[in-house]
Amino acid sequence: MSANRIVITGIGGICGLGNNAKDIWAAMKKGVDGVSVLSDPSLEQLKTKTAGQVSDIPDIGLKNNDTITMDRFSRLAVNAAHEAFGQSGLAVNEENSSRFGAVIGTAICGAEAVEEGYQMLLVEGKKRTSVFTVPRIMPGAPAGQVSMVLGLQGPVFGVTSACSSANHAFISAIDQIRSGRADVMLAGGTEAPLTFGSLRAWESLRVLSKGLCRPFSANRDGLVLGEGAGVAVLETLEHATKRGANILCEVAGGGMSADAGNIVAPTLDGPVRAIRACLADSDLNPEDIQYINAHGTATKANDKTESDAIREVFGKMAEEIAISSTKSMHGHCLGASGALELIACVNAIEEGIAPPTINFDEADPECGLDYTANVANDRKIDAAISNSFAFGGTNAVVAVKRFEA
Amino acid sequence: MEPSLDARVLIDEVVEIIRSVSPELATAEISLDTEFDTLGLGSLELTEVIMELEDRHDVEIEFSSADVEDSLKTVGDVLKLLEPVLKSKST
Repeated sequence: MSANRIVITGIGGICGLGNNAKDIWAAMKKGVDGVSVLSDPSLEQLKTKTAGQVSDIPDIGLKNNDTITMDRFSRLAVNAAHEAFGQSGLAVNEENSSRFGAVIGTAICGAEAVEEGYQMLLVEGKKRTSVFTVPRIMPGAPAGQVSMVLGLQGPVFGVTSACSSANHAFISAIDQIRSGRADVMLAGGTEAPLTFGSLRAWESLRVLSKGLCRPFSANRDGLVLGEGAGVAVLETLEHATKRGANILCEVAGGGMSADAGNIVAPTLDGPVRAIRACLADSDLNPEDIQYINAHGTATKANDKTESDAIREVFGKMAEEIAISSTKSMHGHCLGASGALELIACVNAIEEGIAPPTINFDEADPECGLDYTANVANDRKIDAAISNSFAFGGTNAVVAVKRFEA
Repeated sequence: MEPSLDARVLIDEVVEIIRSVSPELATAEISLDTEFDTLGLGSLELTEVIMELEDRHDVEIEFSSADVEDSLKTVGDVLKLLEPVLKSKST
């Protein structure tokens, strides 16, 4: 059944931990805290003081004509996609371009352009916004921009499901490839939510931490927002083998569910069903999983419910599995989170290292599993899952495994 | 013990805010001991009530919406949260 097998041949990323996937993984292994004091002077009057920030976006040779149409969330996505595509060694030509696609998730939209537009209309009293406001804001813009920069002419679209957007993007990409609509799909997520109005709105929700992100720790006090993007190149095993590509790992499958409960409060049942659906789709048993990249937002509710869900699915074995929330290091990058967390999973398998949950001060009896506290853990990892559970009760879990021919 | 006049003014204010956040409670009986659960108020509605109180009194109340349903069960609990903040503001 080699036509149905999907592998990853490139991965790229950008976030507070680094400007490329290699640097991000190196920082994750070391347990670096990518969360820093908000640097933009216009954000000084906020109550929120910290976030996972990208200090500068590397120049990848884009022209001003291109970047002028892009909100920051598109810039981040394009950089991550450019890196992933470069690593894959793929080249687009007239024959194959319609077999290459992209699906990029985002939780919100182009927040910077929204804010600039309202600034012009309501603060400066102008009669018009920038001509680029609409094309910059659109949630489908990052996918479109990635397709333009790389010349992908197959299935290209954005997906959105709050904090599980990137995992929904991976599963959508898997579906495009399995259904035969594409041979290669770039998939991932992006978010640039660190604007004044957006941060104020998060403050109103009263879920933000006073400073550090401490998932699963008894003294956790909420999430820390971050910006970033991650993109992986998914292609059929057949396509990758034929061109002699370097295969990083195999995409085992994905599972989705909805709580159909509350817009913000998680249920136990929804995440349990998503993890089980992922294992079934991946043809994996609970005992095959050695690493779980947790959703781990560091809110009281998520971390307890997620721990209960893991215990429910994996039973007694839940205690043997290395679990970590890399959000402790890169922050909650909303629509980009699942994509940055896939960087952790792919490398965890390749190097046999579970990255840590940092800022872990004190075990919480209400959670009670092995969260790889503060220091990375060497262990053989053949298969891993990455959990994403979102506002809206939209859950998506993705599984990757070691590639064996 | 009967609530003081100040407390009664505050209770009326909290009830009025609850009714404005959730208009279908316009005629519902709401007292100090009424549980939010029975009124169908969730964490987001309660957060909105607290923030309206913060705005009206120009104070900041420390709480997290993630555990507001555990820490605030009744109108009385809201007053317990609010009164010390108002007191420390006036001193």
